[in-house]
Amino acid sequence: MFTNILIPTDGSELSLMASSGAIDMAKVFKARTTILMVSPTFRQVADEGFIVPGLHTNKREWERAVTERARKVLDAAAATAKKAGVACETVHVFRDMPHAAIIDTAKKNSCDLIVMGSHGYGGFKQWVLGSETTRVLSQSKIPVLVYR
Amino acid sequence: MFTHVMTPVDGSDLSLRAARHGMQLARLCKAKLTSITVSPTYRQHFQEGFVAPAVPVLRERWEAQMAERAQEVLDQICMEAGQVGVECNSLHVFGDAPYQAIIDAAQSSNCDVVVMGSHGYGGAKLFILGSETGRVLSHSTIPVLVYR
Repeated sequence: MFTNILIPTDGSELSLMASSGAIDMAKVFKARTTILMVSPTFRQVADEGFIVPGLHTNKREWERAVTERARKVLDAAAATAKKAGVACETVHVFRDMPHAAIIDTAKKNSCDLIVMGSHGYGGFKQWVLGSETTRVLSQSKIPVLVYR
Repeated sequence: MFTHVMTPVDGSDLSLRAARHGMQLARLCKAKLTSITVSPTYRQHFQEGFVAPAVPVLRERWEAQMAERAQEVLDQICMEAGQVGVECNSLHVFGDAPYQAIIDAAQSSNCDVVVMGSHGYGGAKLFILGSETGRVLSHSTIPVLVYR
């Protein structure tokens, strides 16, 4: 039914719940999983009127820190998949529009299902659907399973 | 994985396609399937300036028509489910807030996933999510699998 499940994660609690649900599903369907984390690209940071210059070293430093954080989340998810005996690939990309990165990665890796939480970090927790999830839902051509 | 799959249908092509996917999901998870159709409650009708009074006989006739139409679709799904060896229940309810009826039915039958199309009848087909699907996604506490 499904052969490759894309699991976008941002490390939030709900995204972890969605990823463990997705791994259970992958086990039932004997599917592979692709776990994706999207980080925003480097920007100049303004702090109390002082603008940190967007120097190359700053950018490198920042990307290193962000990559490290993403690795931690992705490695933890990959370990869960491995424990369940599910094949898993991890992807980390820098992009300002997470939903676009999610849809592109799904296409590139020929995923046939996206499993994600209704919210990531931030936003209203009740009633309303998270912004990235809404964007993925409106633009994806493949089915999306939303965990709450 | 999942033990009871809920598939809301309104008779539109996409809703039937989603229901068939839900059926496959139920088969693979060895789960039960419940298919539900929600019809709007009776209102006064007016046609070419003539207002039909809200008399019980008209209401009954209208409800019988709705029930008949709904049952055709639901029977078709249950028949197909039977062919692939999935136990299937059908539900037809009247309500003006389909999403609420769907969520209530999912809760009272202990469903653990809802499988539905991104749109029912009507609405812009591209980019935007159908209104009832959007509402189910916002209000449901169980995962929702959306097909496009």
